[in-house]
Amino acid sequence: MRESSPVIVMEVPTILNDVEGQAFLQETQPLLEGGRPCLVLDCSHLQRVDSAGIEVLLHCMEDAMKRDGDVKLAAVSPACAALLELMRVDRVFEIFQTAQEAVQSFHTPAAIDAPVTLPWYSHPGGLDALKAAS
Amino acid sequence: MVFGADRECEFLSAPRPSTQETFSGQPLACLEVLGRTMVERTVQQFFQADVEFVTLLAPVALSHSLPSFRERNRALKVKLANDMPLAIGRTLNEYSRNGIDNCFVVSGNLYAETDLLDFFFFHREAMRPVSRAVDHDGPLDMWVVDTAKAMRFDGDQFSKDVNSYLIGGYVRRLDHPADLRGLINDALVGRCAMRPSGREAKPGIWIDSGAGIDRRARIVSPAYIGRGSRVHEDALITRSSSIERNCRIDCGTVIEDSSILANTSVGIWLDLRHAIACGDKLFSLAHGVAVEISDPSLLQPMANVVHAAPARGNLEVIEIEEENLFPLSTQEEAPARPKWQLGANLIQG
Repeated sequence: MRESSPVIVMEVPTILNDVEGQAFLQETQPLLEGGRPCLVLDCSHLQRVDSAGIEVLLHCMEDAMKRDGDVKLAAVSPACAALLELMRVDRVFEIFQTAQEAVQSFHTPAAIDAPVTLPWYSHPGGLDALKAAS
Repeated sequence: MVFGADRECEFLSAPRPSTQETFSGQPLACLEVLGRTMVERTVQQFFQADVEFVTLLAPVALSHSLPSFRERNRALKVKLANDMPLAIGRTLNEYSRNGIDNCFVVSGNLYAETDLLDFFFFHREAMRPVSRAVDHDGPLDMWVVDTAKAMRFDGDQFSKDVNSYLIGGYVRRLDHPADLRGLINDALVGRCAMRPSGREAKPGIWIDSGAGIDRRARIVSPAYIGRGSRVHEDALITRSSSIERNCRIDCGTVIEDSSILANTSVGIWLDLRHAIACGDKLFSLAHGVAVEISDPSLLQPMANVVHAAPARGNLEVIEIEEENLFPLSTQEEAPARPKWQLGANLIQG
């Protein structure tokens, strides 16, 4: 079992462009330096974002993934969702309606963890049972 | 005249600006759809029915976005007006004085496929001053009026105390940008009689004059590429998408179930799904929101050509200029460089 880390919820500023994004990145950097950082970016106040801002979000995600963590987005407005979709970033981040849902999702075991905790050769029915089940 | 002893004409009233009926500051009827504006298509429809002449009434506020016409017609007049009901009344009065008995009145925000002659005869037999078209969803902004009698009608009476003519054919009201997408989709898949401009290069793939498609770009039918537009390498145009005039789709970008309106540049490696893009404006149909993109690397307007004549006074006549801003659709495009040759492209029909 993995050790669960505390989930940190951080509010994204109203404007996320090149200038604001750098300030935001400096603010989040310490949070991403620990082991397996779990970060929820609350975008409920985010009104304007451009490609530099999206770059900052991706940078956060990259840093978190390097340390086996994750960054999830919450309360993304339709306008921001449209922009994320335009830049193909919507498939990179998990997006939730509220920050609370995003926090809970960190505590829910992901489906991809199952083979790690239970390898196929340790399955009671063996490989054939696994094939039949799939 | 086709319609016997009576003389008739028709005129169009372009839509008033509103939040729903405009997109990026332009009325939906004045936006190019598959190579032509809805206003132009409607005017063409009436000329094909042998009406004598057409008058286009447009609000002065929209004088900057009057539609351009690909084909010149001397029987078309454009008038600008501040007060549209008053302008309609005056135009009816003018027609009546000139001996014109009947007149079609149509909103530019309506696309209806119907037999105009049948509608006209229905009106004459009904012996009413006004006949209004309806479909299964309710009344439509399309009337036939007796110019002499209808002058007494004000705005409210114009919509009641009328005879109803049922249109059973294809009808699309352009009240919302989503209606524009719906119409484009229906036209490309053949649900309505509207056809894209240009030539059908492969089944379901319409290419207008001067369009360039990189050999590594992929166009999946049905789709439309407008005049002078460029689709760069690794771009994908799919699911009834339309690229209107003078657009640029940069490398690797996917356009899916979307319309890129005229003079729009879409940046590299983007994904437009269920959306309409116009200049730096993006209307996401999936999210139901209009977004202004400030980043020119994503969306930006191409160098825009001014089509409309400048605004003039109330009801002042603006004649359509003889020269068209762009070559007619019947003209063959100039031979392109080998890179842009159509036959070498990966087009899936």
